[in-house]
Amino acid sequence: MIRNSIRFKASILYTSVLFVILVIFSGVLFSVTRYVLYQGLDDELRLKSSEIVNILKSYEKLSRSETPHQHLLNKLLGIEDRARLIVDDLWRSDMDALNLKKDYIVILDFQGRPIIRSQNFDAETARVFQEQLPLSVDFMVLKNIRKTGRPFRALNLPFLYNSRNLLVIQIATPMDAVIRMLNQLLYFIGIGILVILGITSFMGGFFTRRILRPVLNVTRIVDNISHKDLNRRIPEMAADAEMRQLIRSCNAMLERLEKSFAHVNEFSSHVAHELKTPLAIIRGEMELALSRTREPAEYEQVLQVSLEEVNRLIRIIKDLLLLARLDYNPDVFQFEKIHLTAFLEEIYEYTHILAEQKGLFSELRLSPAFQASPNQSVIEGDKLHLRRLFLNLINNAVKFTPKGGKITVSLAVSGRSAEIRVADTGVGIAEKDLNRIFDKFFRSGSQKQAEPGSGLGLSMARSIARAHQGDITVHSRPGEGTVFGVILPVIFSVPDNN
Amino acid sequence: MDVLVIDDEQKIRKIFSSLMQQQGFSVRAADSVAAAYDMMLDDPADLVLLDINMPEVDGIFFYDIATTFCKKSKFIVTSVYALADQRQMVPGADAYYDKSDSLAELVRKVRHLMPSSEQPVRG
Repeated sequence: MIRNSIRFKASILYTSVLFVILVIFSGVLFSVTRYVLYQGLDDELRLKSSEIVNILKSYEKLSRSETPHQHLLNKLLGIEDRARLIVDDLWRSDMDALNLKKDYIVILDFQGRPIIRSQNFDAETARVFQEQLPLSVDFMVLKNIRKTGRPFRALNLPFLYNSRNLLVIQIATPMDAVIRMLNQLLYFIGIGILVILGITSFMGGFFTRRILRPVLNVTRIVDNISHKDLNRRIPEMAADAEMRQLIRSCNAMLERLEKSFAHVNEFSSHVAHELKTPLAIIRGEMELALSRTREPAEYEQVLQVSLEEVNRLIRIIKDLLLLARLDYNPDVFQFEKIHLTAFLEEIYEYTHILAEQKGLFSELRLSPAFQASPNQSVIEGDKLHLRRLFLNLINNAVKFTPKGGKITVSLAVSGRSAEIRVADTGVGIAEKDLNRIFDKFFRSGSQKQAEPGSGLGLSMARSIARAHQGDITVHSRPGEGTVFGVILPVIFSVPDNN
Repeated sequence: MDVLVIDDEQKIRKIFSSLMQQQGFSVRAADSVAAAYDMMLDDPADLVLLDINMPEVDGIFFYDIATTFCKKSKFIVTSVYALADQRQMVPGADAYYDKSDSLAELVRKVRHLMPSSEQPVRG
């Protein structure tokens, strides 16, 4: 499994999360068990001690005449008397009933002197008790002690004998069983965690592989798609919703890629075609001129034609470069605030000059409100590029309007958008061509010009309008004229009184 | 023997006309399919030099129509498209010529179709 794979990471994640949960759970389980077992041990100790105390107290009646010291001393010294025999029997049977063979028991007076001890209570035990279980005559004390490495639970319990004498019972019981039980529990928990983690990491890996199988399939298919078969699509197999979404996104991207590839291909073929025509003319002219000796005037004519075609080539290349910049590099625009009316007057100035040269009439149409307040509408725009846009439109209008026609430049503002219109009374554009005139290199059938343009002017105009968050529209009737409208957003405008 | 040059580019028409005249053909020229159509109906040319990519009506449509009623005319497709593309666009024409090739190449193709005319060209 690759270290940096989702499968590996998911497996590690499942396993670690589960590990933490299991450790916390086991820790709680272990602590509770330990607490319960200790509690049981303590209860047992308390019960034993109170039983012993009760047994001792039952001797009070038998030895009312004697001091407890005397009686107990008698007992220790083995002095025979009736009471002692009875007590001894009682003690032994009671002790047996309490199952105290493994426990160390000692009864001390309030100064810590031992009065009575169990048979197994040797000097070593006395030392351990003295060191690890300090005498307390006021409180019951429960404590863990160790004797030669073995753990014991020990109790120190003060009590009153004969209502006068303060005695202390100290009792220690081995914890081996409890410790063994706890160790076993710990062992089972450890094994259990390992087994569970093993199973989960295997299952996690298995399920992640199943979940991720479609990803591998998609990867394989996408890997095999090259620019030659961009029409291929990833089949939407029976996968999960997220995976289907991924496949759909991939397919949508492929579709966009295919379209742009087709577009680029078509565009390159257009470019080649556009560049080859002038070159064919230059080559033809030259070959024809060289086919026999010519008069100097004829050579001059060839050079003239060649120069025109070279200029055409340069114009096409320049426009192509500019268009590429406009479309893909918005930084070429330097936006500033432009007063629409002032700008419009500048545009009209060009129109007037160009129209007059060709013998056309021209008109600027501004509403009276605009004339009264020149600051009415302000747009954010790049003056240089906007000028280029309108020059293209005006040049077209002049080019396609026969002598005696009229070019009208007008402005209309509604709300947050302004529309500048350039209208002519020229040849117009056929309806079938209207939606194609903004395509690169498209030339309408009515375009019969002595000097053809680059075929890019209107594409450029549209790119510039769109870079200003605006657009360009066209309305035309063959034989009647054409109206181009450039819509630009207005950033500031005084309410129009019209 | 006469040749009809159909091309929307005036300079190309002029070059081809001069070339064909040098080759001894009588030459007519049309700047659009509509004009060429009238000329062919009037008097079918022996050889047609036909541009493909023209505004209004494309040369491809003209070829389809003209070949049905002028069975004797020969057609050379002349375009700036690569020859393979031209063959794909107008299948079945008598010859194809890439306008950016030399004029000698065009003459060779014309001669191949019209062997009877005189005057070789220097290219």
